[in-house]
Amino acid sequence: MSLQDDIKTRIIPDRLNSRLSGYLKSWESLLVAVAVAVFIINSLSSPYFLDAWNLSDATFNFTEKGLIALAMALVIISGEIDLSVAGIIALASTAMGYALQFDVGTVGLVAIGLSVGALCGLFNGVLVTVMGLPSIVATIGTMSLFRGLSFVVLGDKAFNGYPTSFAFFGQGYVFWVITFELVLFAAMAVLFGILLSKTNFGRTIYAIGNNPTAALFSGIRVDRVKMILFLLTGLMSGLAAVCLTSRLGSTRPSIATGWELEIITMVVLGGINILGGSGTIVGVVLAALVIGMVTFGFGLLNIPGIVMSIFIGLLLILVIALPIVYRRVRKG
Amino acid sequence: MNQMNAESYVTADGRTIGGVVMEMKNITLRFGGVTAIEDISFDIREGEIRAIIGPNGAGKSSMLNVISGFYVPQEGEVWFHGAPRPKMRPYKVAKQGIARTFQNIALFEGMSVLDNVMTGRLTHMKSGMLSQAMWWGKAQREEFENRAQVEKVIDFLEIQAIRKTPVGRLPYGLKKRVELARALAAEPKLLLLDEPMAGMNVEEKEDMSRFILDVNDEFGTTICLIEHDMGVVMDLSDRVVVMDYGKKIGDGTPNDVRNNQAVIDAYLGVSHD
Repeated sequence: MSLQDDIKTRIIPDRLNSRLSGYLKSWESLLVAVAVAVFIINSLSSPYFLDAWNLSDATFNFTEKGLIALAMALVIISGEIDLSVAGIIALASTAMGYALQFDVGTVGLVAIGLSVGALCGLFNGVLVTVMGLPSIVATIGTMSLFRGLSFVVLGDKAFNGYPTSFAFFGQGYVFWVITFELVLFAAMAVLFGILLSKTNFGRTIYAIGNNPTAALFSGIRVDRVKMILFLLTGLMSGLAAVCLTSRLGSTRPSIATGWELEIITMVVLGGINILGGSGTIVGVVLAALVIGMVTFGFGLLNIPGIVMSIFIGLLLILVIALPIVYRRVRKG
Repeated sequence: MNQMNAESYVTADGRTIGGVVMEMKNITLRFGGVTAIEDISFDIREGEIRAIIGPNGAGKSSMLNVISGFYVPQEGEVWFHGAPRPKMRPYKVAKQGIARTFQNIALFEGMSVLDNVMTGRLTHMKSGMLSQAMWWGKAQREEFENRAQVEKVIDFLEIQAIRKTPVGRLPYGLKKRVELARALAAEPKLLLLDEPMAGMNVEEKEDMSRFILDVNDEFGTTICLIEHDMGVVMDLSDRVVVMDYGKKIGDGTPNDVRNNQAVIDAYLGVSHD
């Protein structure tokens, strides 16, 4: 038997590692370990942490940002980015507050919040796909544009007096300590998870992020998919705006300032490659949980907000740098 | 009778070559002041292996990009299946049944070989998103059918062993083969290969030549390929177009082309004194 025949008849298994060891070595299981560690540290350092109502409050630290992070994950996997999400929240919230002056009811307010979000997303999509602008530049522009419009309308004033029924979205409980926002986030996470991992649309997003040229010549409408993803991110930002406005009960133009940073940190910490092409929704959900618990723990310990933002900044650098440094060390 | 003008004919090795599938009519392509292709016409017949050859910078890749819809020529028409093809984006060209590979390999590096090949199959999947998400009815049936076709291609190109490997980890020669698999998974009516043998050693070239011949023979796929390795092309193809400096300098069977003085001059150089 020649060497070549020998190689051909040798059976090579599909996976070189067992399924279990694959799971254990994944980024997601690392995140589970971190989440457990944070949970333990939090419960040891503050006697108030393990209270059911406190834990329920803790979920507000990630549910609204998490909603946007789900859509942002898809955008980043496709090789783009949307920095305007917090600006969209400001504009959508302002639009709802403005409509309030004309006695629009709860259903109308939600519809306005969602449609302004979707329109802003569509505008980003047009800038990126039709005008061909790099998304990082286009959305830095719209980030200022959307929030700027909100400042023009509101100045240093605020819109107040939302109807009581509107408060349900941000303050309501579905069951015991389980908030409406948490249920909404869980449902959306399942929806986005299925969309990304079980449908051809999901496969298309990965393909575009890996190689847009190859995707185009495989018959994928790259621009249309990107447009849908920006629209979806806008829509989710609109949804987050509804929840946040409802929770705060008022609109100021400075609402959700700096959220884009935290949302992108969530996505990257969740194992989504910042250069596009890989990552899972499970990772993003776990990362949202970790960040939510860390910031809540900081809050319980009375650590000032500026320290939190330093922490978020360092975390972002760390999670982007770690895989790159790891690869370099392994190669060298 | 001249076999070139007949509606269909049988080659020496027993393959039937049908009528004209694609016709390039007086194509001229310019980039600013540079004319990349100048008034070139030729046709591609059903079931044949058609090569476009020429020295570096002859305009071969530009011509392939015109066929695949990436470039729109300033003058001339592209006829596909007997009708002029309107200006269309590459994804539409792909949906018409024209698949291609690239000189510098275009694959989804972070995805497995299987997922790469499945992505090539997307144009055949029509089920709705809801049905896919529920893994119900049409979507499930469709996934199984398409998966079966993909497995056939994977078997055919002998890449079973690496089906779960991320493409980024594969050596160059195998990547080229996976790219061929991705293009082939679409069951194209016309397969465009941009320098399929570039950068390969002799053994890899032999393998790739065998696969190209087998694809043509087994699936009856019409193939148009670009190469500058003359030897390989002459063995593989039924007819050859020769380009030099954006112009067509020869067109015919490998034998005709080999004896064409203009072609010999272009490849070997000609003294100007």
